[in-house]
Amino acid sequence: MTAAAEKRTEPSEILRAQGLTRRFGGLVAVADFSFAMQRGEILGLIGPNGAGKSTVFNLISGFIPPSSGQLWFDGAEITRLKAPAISRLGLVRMFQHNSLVQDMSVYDNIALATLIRLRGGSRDARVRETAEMFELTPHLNELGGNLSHGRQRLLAMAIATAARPKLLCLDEPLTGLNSTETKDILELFRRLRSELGMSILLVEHNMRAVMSVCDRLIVLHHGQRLAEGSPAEVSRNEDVITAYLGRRA
Amino acid sequence: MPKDRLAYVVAALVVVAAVAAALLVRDDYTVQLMLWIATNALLAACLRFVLLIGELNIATAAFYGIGAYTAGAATTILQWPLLAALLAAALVAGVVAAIFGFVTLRVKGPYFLLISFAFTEVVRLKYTQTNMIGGNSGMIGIFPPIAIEPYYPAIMIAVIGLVLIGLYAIERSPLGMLFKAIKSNDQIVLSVGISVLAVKVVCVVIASAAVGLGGALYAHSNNVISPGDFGFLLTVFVLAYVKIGGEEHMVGAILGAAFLTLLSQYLLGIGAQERIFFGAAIIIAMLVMPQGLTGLALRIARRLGWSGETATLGQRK
Repeated sequence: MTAAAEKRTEPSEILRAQGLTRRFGGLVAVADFSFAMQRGEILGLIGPNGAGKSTVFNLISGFIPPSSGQLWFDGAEITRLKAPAISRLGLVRMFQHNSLVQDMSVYDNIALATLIRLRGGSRDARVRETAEMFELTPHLNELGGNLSHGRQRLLAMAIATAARPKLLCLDEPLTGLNSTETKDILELFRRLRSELGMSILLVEHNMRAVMSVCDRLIVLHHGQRLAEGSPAEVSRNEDVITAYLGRRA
Repeated sequence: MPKDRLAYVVAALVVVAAVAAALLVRDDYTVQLMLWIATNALLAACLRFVLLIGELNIATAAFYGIGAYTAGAATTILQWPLLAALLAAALVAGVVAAIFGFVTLRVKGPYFLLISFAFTEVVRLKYTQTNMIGGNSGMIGIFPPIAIEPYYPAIMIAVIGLVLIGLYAIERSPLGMLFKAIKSNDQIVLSVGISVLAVKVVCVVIASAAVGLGGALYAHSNNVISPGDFGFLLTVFVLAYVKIGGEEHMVGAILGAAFLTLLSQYLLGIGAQERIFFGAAIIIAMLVMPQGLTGLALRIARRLGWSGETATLGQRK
């Protein structure tokens, strides 16, 4: 850890963003956004469509570089690192769209995440253990593209989880899941934290799910932080209500 | 016996049979035909190898030429032994491919295709302007050592056969699965911590070193090479082999090369129209058999329940 990083990030923090800004031409998608995430925390990043949530995901996972600002992960500065390097440090993301390899089997999709981490029998064990977690064991030999939409979301989460990251970033993981599956996955998130020590950053539109599983929420609006706090605090916040539902006449 | 192991056994038997035929057949024309099929099969397999990552590498012809010229220069100018010339050809083609790939594989699709086309033409023009390697006229007198000359066709077929088996083994390995994943969804590969650029460069280096070795073998079999042998049109012909044979399986590239090489011998009598035939063959194959001869065969086999297995990263239970 560098001296500069020590000054800017606390040992208890898994992730810190400072003044994160991303411009696309004249559009400012994320503007001077700062936040910190504690180890073992399940943090929800919510906001209306176009608020900049996915851009924040792309920034912290190294898929696009910030226009300005700094990022630290697990005590090390990652601002200029590219996606593979950040993933190898232990920050692994799931995509909102196109989140698996359609023409590869479920087994191979999950195994992709273990390729540079494990070999032989350990890899096989990891794949099967992860498939079991997401109830994909009966589908291991099916092509990813042939799964139902809900199972494709489970597979996308399984790919990210198979890397056993320190921080798991999930972009709308519950889309397309029925209520039973949603309940099971939320329980799984808690298990990933308690049993594997993962921190989870969640972008999700299912408010009921977000409220029940997240320790803390950050609300983004027009690329800026609108509110932050416990689910109960955020749900009572007037600014948040206005941003989501519009101002009362 | 597991299907994978069976495939290697069958491939080894085919190579042994081809080598035996090259040693036993007394007809020079038949042996020459076998060598053409072997080199074209290697070219097709190498073009297809880069297609695994989703890129059409026109520069396959350029690396074939780099191998041929390196080996030609090594044996005629530097007087190196054949083995050293062959290894140098693969090495030089591989190193040039590493630089070429590192610079160009940041773009994909039509952009990479155009760059690889331009590279091929630049390299070809460079040969024409370099007098040391014969300029426009090319190099002559590239012979294998006299002691092994009678066995050279058999050696050439054996080496090409082993290279083809090696390429197949890589395709079936975890690295090969990465190629496939990159072609389908490179974002996922990035997200699990793997550098897509590095894997793509490795793919192009392997294919180019293999095709460079092929070029070296060709140079010593043909004894004469010239810049015109290594223009982009060569890759267009090779693309026809891959498309007509079918790109789903390496066997398709080999069958396509064999089929069109044999057919082109019968079409020599029609002169320039041979090229029209190749163009027409690609169009017909695309329209009637989009997955080529092997694609058609695999579909029938799967329907009959003979095969449905795809490569896997781990053992299935």
